[in-house]
Amino acid sequence: MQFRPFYFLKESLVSFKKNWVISMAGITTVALSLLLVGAFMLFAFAMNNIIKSTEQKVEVVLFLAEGVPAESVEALQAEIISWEEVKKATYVSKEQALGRLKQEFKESDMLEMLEGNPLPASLEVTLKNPQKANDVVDRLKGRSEIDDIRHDRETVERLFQVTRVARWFIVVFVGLLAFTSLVLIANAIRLAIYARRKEVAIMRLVGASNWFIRWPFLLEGILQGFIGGIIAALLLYLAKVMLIDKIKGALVFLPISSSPQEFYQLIFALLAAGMFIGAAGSAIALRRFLRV
Amino acid sequence: MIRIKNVSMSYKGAHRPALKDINVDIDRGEFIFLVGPSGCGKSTFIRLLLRELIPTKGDIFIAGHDLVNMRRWRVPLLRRNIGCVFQDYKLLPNKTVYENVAFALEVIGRPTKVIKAQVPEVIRLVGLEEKLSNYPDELSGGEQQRVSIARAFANRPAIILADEPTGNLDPATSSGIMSLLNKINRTGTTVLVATHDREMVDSMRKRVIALEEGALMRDQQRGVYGYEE
Repeated sequence: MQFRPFYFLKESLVSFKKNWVISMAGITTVALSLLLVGAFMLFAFAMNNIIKSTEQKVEVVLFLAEGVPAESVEALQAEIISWEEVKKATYVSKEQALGRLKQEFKESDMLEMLEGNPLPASLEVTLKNPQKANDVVDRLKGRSEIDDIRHDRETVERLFQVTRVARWFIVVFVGLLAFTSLVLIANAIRLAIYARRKEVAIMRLVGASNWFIRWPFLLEGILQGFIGGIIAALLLYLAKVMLIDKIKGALVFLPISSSPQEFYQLIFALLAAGMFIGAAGSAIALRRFLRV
Repeated sequence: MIRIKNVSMSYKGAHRPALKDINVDIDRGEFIFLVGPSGCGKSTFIRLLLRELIPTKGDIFIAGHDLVNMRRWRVPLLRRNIGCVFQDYKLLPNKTVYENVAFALEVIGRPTKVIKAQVPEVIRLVGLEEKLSNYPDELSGGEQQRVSIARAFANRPAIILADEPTGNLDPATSSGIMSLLNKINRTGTTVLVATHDREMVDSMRKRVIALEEGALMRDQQRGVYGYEE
């Protein structure tokens, strides 16, 4: 069997031009489904980063009540450290807390409105095993020295839950869209086969090899999927530049930065997925409508 | 060249077989008429040789190849060795005479150099060298059938199968087509013509294979059409 890429490509382009309206339907749905996948992946990357950086932070923060004497704070700190689940407990004074906040927001003028120091002193407790956070929190609840307990584990778990639900939703939705694109591409290829049925009949008659007959149609499907992938990648790139990078500038405290490398991997994966959907769609059409 | 042994063919859902226990041997370079009334199994016979169908019983060998047990990917290679001519010409309307013949060589991967040499030659053989760049709808029926014969012969197959090649043509044009097929036969090509054309068969006095209701009625050298209709 001889593979002649330029001949096949020429044939599929001619056929593509002939029924581009139908081809557009397939391309659009491929683009749409890949765009959704891509958007979700960006969202998931960001979520992952938030989760990771939250986990690296302190698991339990004890905000101390105003006016608690220093010795009872020290006693509390010593007691907590003595617990076996606890790795360390660090004291953060009011001044240190304000200093940190200023550091975080040094690019914005939000803090100029701030009068005095509304921030409480705190004890930051790091655990040997973050899973034990609930036990520790239960034990500390109701202590008079402590005004409030922030427990980031809960935030992390809630984030996990959100992503899990979103993931299922996206998987189902994208699955449906991918199926639709598959059907639409198969349909476009079927019409391409129908439009060229005379040529196909003669090719079979004179003994063109089966793959020689199939290639142009297969390439046409792959081409449609690829174009859909390019559209999705372009839209995603625009979204990244115009939306995500802007949001990142505005919400400096959210660690949603995704590395450019991750982004390009994503783009590459989308293009590959588009071509795969295209190939699968035309394969269906070839199986059903082109018995060579 | 062609050996058909005890071949029967039944279509699914049909209550009588299209072919019943056919035995035929055809040597290299023979010219054969396949005759019989409509529905006698002539087309089935041809489709079996092209391996468009597989017989329900029996064996078919062409040039030593076993058609019944042939792998699917080998079928195209078989067909490159069999040229086909049909009643309705099967030309591509958007291609010129030259392109129609060249197409058959292109799609089996012949090199451009060979195509450029062979196509004009075979078109000259069928006598259409003046019409190289005409489209099929600018040609008469007889001329279109000549193009179709040129296409069938372009790859120099060992066998030419013609299914009612003169079915749409008037007698004068028909005899032109037949003498063209005869000319191709004289180059050593085996030619098998399925036909209704009584005068043609009677005047050419070639080997005649007659089918009736799927059965082989007669296989006769220098035969005649032989049916009273």
